[in-house]
Amino acid sequence: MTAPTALVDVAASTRRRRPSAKLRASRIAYAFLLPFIVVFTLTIVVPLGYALVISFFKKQLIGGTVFVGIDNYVRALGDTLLHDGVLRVLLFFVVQVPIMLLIAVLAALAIDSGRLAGSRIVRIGLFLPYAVPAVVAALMWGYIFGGRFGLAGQVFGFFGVPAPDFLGPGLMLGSVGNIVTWSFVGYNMLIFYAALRSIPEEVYEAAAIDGAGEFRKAWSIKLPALRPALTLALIFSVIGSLQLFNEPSILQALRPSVITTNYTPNLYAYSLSFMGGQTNYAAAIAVLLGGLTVVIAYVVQLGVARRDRFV
Amino acid sequence: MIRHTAPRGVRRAVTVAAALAATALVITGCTSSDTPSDEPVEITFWTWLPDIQTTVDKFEEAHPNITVKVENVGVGIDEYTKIQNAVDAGSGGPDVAHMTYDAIPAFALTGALADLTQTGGESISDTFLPGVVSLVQFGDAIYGVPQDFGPGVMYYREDLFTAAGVEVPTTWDEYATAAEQLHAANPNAYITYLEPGLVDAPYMGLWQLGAKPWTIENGTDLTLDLQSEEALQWADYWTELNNAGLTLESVQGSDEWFKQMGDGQIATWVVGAWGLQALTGVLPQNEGLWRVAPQPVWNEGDTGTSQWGGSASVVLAQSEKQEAATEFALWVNGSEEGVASLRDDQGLLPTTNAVWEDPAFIDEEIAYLGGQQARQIFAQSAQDTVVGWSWTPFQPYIGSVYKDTVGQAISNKTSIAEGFKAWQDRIAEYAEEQGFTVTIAD
Amino acid sequence: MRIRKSPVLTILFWMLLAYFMLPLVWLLVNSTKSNEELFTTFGLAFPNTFAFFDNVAQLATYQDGIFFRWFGNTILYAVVGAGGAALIAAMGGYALAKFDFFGKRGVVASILGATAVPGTALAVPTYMLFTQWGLINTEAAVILPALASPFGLFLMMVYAQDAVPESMIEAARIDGAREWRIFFTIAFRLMVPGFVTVLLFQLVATWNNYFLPLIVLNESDKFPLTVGLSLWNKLANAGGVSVVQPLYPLVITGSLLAVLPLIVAFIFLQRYWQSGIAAGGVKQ
Repeated sequence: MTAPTALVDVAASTRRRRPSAKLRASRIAYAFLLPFIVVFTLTIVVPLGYALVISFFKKQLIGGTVFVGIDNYVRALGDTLLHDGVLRVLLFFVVQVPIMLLIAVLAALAIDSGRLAGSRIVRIGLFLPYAVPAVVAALMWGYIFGGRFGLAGQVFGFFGVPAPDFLGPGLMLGSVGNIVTWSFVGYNMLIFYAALRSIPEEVYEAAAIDGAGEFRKAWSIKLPALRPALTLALIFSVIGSLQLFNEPSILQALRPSVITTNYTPNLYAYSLSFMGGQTNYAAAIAVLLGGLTVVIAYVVQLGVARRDRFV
Repeated sequence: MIRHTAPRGVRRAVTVAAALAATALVITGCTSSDTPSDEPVEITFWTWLPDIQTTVDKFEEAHPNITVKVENVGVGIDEYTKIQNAVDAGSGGPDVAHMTYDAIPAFALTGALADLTQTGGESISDTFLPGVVSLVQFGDAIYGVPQDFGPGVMYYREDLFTAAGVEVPTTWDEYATAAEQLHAANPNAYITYLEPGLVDAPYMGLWQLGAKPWTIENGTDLTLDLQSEEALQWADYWTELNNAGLTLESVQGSDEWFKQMGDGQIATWVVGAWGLQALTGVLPQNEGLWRVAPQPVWNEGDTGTSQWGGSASVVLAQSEKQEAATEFALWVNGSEEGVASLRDDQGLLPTTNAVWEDPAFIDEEIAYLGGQQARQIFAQSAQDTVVGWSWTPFQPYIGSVYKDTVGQAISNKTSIAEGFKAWQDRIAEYAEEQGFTVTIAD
Repeated sequence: MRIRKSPVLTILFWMLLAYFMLPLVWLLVNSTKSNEELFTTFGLAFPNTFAFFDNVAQLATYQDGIFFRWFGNTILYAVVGAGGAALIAAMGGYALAKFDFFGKRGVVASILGATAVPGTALAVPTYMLFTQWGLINTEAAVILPALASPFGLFLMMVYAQDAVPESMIEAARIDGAREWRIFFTIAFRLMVPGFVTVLLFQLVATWNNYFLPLIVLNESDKFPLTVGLSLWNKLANAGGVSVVQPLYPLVITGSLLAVLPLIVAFIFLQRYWQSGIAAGGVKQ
């Protein structure tokens, strides 16, 4: 989760000025931006350029490195293993993201309403999972989902029924979604909560005079106020979903046959590069994935009022 | 978190503190008196053995002019990735590195490793067990000093067999019968586990059968044969056990797996001899319950076994201190003191001829195994290893797509033979991409 | 006006909370177990022998206490990386918010576009470039990439837009103040809550960063906790590789200790966190 709101305000703040003033402003602005541009260029842009260049080559065990033009891209377009992964993350996006955002919105509304006892603890508690590193998460979820010795096995065993196989092919994507939801509900909740806190008190007072109840206030005041934040969260969920990697790779350790090497496009790129030495092809996939992400992020936004769009 | 074959090869050998009756061993060419020069030199050694510093200290004491910097940069593929990056970048790699046998061809055949016969390691083929030397020798060149190995054996829970009144199997047929009897007597007990991502199991199985699933000739012609009689024999055998519900699906080395092992749900573990190390290390409470027997064979009277795991110390071609690096690798893995330290401080199964001729080592009674003289079985297995198995230069890839193909068959309880076919197709496709001329044997 | 608490709502969300806390509870419980009890007792039951302090003592001594060295490294990387990232983002965000300059749209679009490409594919190129620049196996190789936070940049931009009135900047200019001075003495102060927000986000991100340090560091003395613990975990999975020390308890107890500072940071800094996020979430 990074970036968001940026583009929003660009247009707003772009006002016509005299060229000389703009020239002066440009000098100062770039001076302030320089540190960011330098580190961003060194650590992201240059490696990205390098990746772009090597995506037009092919390195073989026999024959060495040769220029192949757009061959890697053509191959990616016809690669059914890649397509499987892309479809899976799209499905994931369509199902998991609404659930996660819904829980996050509800949690934010509940905490904001003041009707929740111990809301400070809930707020911190929901947010904590974001801080848990992957190596720990793998151990914990292995225990929780474990059918025989795990919590699932114990709980279901208590009721005398066998535990469903949470890590089987049928439920795995759901389990991945569960972990992602667990990690990011609190994160999104905090963004939404902050948005709600910023609604001016006068708006509520006016609503109270109109005789609006709690539900009505939530529906006609709070939800509209959340729209920009929701759009932002949605765009970053597009990026997060298409780049899905950490959570499936955690579960891969527990159930290798279900999380195949091409389970998600990002896992596939990783596997190609690190197990197969196909760095060039992996670079092409990454570039295509970046392009697809931008397109989907744009499309998703078309459902949002123009003033709330980011790009 | 990503699993694949290499780190598993890692699981290491045993050895509970052996009463070390010092035997006079004749080790060629690697004692401190042979040190070619007295110039002080520092070498870097990458290994994931957690307690290796003890052994290195002993080396440094005997070689005041050589300082060894030990770095643990990752287990298996993580280390190999770093080495590959360093090779591609032209610098930054270690002088000596720990490498499992299956990973060596990829580096050796691309020129990343030094030929030790040119750097002071001419003695390797005389010092170490021939079956192990064959894993580091390509043509006349030798690309590593063998450190340990995993002669195949079968660990089993004696208590389970006794309780069920089942004979300990010596052939795979008996093994299948025992599987039924054990499970019938105790529905919680399974003869063994199958892991859909664990490629070492078929490697070990195919090796024992003398299968040649991948053969490379002239450096560029690859013949794949995962539908050979031997391959199908292995596949069908396990398909049958798997589909009959006589095996448990589990992930070796996982927390759950250790619980199953400790709990008596898994009755046998056919694995490299180093398996004992895992048992004693993680399941000390099981002391006295486990025993070791020879790896089952396919026909009564057969003796051929195979191996699983083991590593060598390799010297990088980009190292500027190859002589010192070779001297270090030879001392650690081949000298009398080095081998003693590997065995006692690292719990490894050394690979020198000398140590396997040492009665004090071979005849020691292992308390964990109820006082069995386990190393006699290890030694026999080492001697009986079927020769002719080989690895490809792209073994990590082969291992990584095993779970995508054969693993699916295991998980879904469908035909493993079909899974082999799918596996073969993925390998063929990859090898063609890499410039090999691929032939599928019929 | 006092709002009545809703029992239904409270119960529902405390149940959700319980589910969310479950993995952490698991971690806490299991950090008190010895190796043997890890494999013989139920996951969420406390052990017969309370081994937590034993485990911590072993962490402190195993491999000459390298765990605490990793801890120190992590603090160094996280503090320098997050502090630097927040400062750089504040400066850049201020520029984006308060100046109308040539190429602004291009800058913003490039940053977003580059963020959409997954970082896994950049690992090998990054390694090659860092080798050429002599950065491999240096602290800088971990810290430098942590300094670039596009999210932080945009959050600061949004925040500055609201928090820093144009009139104050203009007034300072008329008084003859230099631009740097205006930023550090006026604008930055107003942006402190946003700055703290970015600081915290980056702190967590850098603290949990695994992939990059794994690729660029070649000496265990320089590892952060994530890489070190993952190494131990792999060795533990490999099954009793160490003849000296069973590694599972070290991994679990070490993981708990690794999470604690972040929990403490959350709890103590939540006030800043909320007011900072408000700017990012709210305004359009």
